[in-house]
Amino acid sequence: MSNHDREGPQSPGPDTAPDGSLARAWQQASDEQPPPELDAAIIAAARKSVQDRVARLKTLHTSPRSWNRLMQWQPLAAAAAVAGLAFTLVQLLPRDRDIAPSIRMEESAPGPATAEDKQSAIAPAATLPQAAEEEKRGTGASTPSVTEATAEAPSQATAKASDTAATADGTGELHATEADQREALAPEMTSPAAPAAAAAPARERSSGNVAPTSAADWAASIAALYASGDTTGAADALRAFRAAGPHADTYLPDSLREWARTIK
Amino acid sequence: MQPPNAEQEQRTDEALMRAYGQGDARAFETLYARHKSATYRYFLRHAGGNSATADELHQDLWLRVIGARERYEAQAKFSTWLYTLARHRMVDHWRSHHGVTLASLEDEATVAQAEESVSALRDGSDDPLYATIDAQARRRLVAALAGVPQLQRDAFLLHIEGGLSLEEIASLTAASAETVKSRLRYAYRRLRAALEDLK
Repeated sequence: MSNHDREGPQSPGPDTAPDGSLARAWQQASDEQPPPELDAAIIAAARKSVQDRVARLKTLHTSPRSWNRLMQWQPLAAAAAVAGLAFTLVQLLPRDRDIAPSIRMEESAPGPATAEDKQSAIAPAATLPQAAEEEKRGTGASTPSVTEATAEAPSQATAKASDTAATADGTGELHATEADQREALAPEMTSPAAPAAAAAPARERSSGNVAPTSAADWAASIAALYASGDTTGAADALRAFRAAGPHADTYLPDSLREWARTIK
Repeated sequence: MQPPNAEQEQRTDEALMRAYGQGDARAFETLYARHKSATYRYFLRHAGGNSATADELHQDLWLRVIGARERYEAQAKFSTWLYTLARHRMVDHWRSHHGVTLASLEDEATVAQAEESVSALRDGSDDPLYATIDAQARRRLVAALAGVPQLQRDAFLLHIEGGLSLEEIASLTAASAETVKSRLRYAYRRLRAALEDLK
């Protein structure tokens, strides 16, 4: 029974004061209790609510365990992320073929070379558009005349030098020295082999197989084609160059300007 | 239900409710034992003695108490909070079952109608039939309360069953203290009149 309902509420006034008879009468009149099964149901609901709360707290306690389990995956996830990042960077880095040929050759340029080294270095060195660039700068302006004067294929020149050395007589050493000097000039594109060798990739470029990476590169290719005697290829390359850029002729070496004016 | 121990009995309603909110089921049992009869009778009287309705409303009330245990803050007396919930449930019941609005509860016509029913009851006491009813004084008194308009009956039940003060009833019912006093006076007068009949 409630401890409120029978202790006598505050009197609201003389008319409303629960006098003894009224209070007693009311107590007799009003003494019903909720049925026991209703009490049991309510108490059960109250206990269940507490048990649910305990279960919820247990879930909260167990959640750190699942968090730890999650944390165990963290190193793997981090490793996967690093691998993914590395792969992306590798994809973004410029590949070997994208690097300018001049840079590649600078990296692989040999130091003081022996005669054999120089002999074998003739061909790769000749692939350099560097020779054409030198022509463009003016140093190569006289080169064609030099090469014309000593005009022979590089292989022939080296063979001749070898022959000379092989048939050495009293002047053998002198011939060998001259051959060495000639070969030593070869990497500097004083050899007539340079334009011919350089013409090969230039032809590829003019045929559209390989696009020049820059205007200077393009001009060098044209110069190499021209120097090799492939004027048709040089003309094709020049037309392609003009199509790619409006001021293509300005990139050509001075020695080619006159010829370029004849190409439409 | 286990009997509440002495230590629990000494704790206030508010402390018991807080303890229950923290997971002490025994605290709830003590609290329920203290208030269950009063809340049950509050509903039973409002339901005109319909025990099925009283059972339903009583259970709803205490389930609401259970549901609110973690949100409960002792800003007012527990009994005031409890009867606020009880009254809200009662008003919901009136609205859903009778279409009764709070405004209509204040209607003077309703009051007059109730007065007539009490008068009829009083007049009927002279009837030989009511001689047997005199022996059933409890029922007469309960019946007299049933004839009291709802708001006056509500004030009376909050006062005598819930043990709430005038100010608490005024706060709970959003009425002025004078209004509550008037309602209570009305209810007591009628019950007293019914009691006079019993003498």
